[in-house]
Amino acid sequence: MSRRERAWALVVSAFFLGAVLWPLALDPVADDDFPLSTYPMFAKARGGTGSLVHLVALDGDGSARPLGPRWFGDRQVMQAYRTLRRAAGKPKRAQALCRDAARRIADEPAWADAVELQLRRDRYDIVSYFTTGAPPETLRIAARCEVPR
Amino acid sequence: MTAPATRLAAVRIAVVLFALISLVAEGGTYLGLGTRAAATFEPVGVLRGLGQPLPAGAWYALLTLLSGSGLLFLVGRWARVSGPLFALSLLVATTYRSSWSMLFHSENLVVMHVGVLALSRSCDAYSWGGRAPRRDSAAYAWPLLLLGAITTATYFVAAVAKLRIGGLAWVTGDVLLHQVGWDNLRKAELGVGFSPFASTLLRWPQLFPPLAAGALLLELFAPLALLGPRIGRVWAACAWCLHLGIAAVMWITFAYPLVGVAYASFFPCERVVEGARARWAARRGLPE
Repeated sequence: MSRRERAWALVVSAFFLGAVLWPLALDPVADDDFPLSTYPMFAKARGGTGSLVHLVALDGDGSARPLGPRWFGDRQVMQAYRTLRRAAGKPKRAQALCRDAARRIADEPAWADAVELQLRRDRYDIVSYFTTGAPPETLRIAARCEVPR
Repeated sequence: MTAPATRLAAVRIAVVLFALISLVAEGGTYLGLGTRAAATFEPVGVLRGLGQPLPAGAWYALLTLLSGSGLLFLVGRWARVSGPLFALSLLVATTYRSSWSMLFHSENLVVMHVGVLALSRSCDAYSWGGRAPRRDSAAYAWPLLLLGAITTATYFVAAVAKLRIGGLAWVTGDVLLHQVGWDNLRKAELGVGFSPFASTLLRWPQLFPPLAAGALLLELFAPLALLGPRIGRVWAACAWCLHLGIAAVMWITFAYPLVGVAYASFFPCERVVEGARARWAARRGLPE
């Protein structure tokens, strides 16, 4: 390589390596960015319980079945989750989302037994949920609506 | 240290092909951003100063530029222009996608790799009208080394984040157990697919500290992979297994490492291309 090529290699290498390692100097949680990430995912302790907002369909017996993202917004699961969380904090938006999803499933054979939708925040024991099928410890309903038939 | 022009070019083909296939696979999402409501727009990275979403026409023009320059860079045509143009438009497009309240970390590495390939002599071989390749040269070796260094650096940064946020409790405590459980629970209760292994694995909490220790060591000592080709390949194979494990127990697929393209710079990829060319020539009865 010529001297010029060597200098170019050094500049490009320093630029990219400096950029990738730069987040080491930042707050790993608050300063995450794209494409220069601090990679905080999976790093944070979240405890043995957690609450989440979701949209569930209740049948005549009161059994709940969660609705997937395709019924209320983005197919991308994390973005859909954010949509639900935002809606849950605003009653009007929560009700509108609930009614919209209810209209969408009304004619779907797979949801023929659904009588009501609930947008709610449930709190779970994470391990018990999988090992014993434990139901949510607490639940808080943000919006509810009937499925039009 | 030297490398053949064909090795760097083969990596270029693999990385650019991956980026283009990803764009097509996520085409609906990318196109949808042109008409998305501004309510959830939170610009990040190089777009941080953008006050509002791009006009739909500008966004579609950027996607057109991205696809066109990507195809040209893939075949090595007008590489001095098409390469940087593709790298820049990929950076802007993926940043724009991450500007709607969720960062797509899975795209970080491919953006970086395309940047390196665009600024090096990656089109000296396997290209349409490119420069005549030199013999084995350091000019083809340093970009490969840099690609590997960037890859390992991202794992190192991830390990440091785990230690800074969770400390050693990330290994000795229940952090990983709860992460795996929570991620699967969230998917199950959001009505999407989750790992069929989750409920079995969560019955064995004692498995998690050794799994966490293995993952952390693999990430923390990733830069050692740059010490030589053999150790690099061993590390790449281990890192690939890590992603396979993540996919199995968390149902999270990081496509770039999982299909192996993220680690292509550690391997003599030109043999794949040469093998394919030889088979093609044999089938047509042509001299190799």
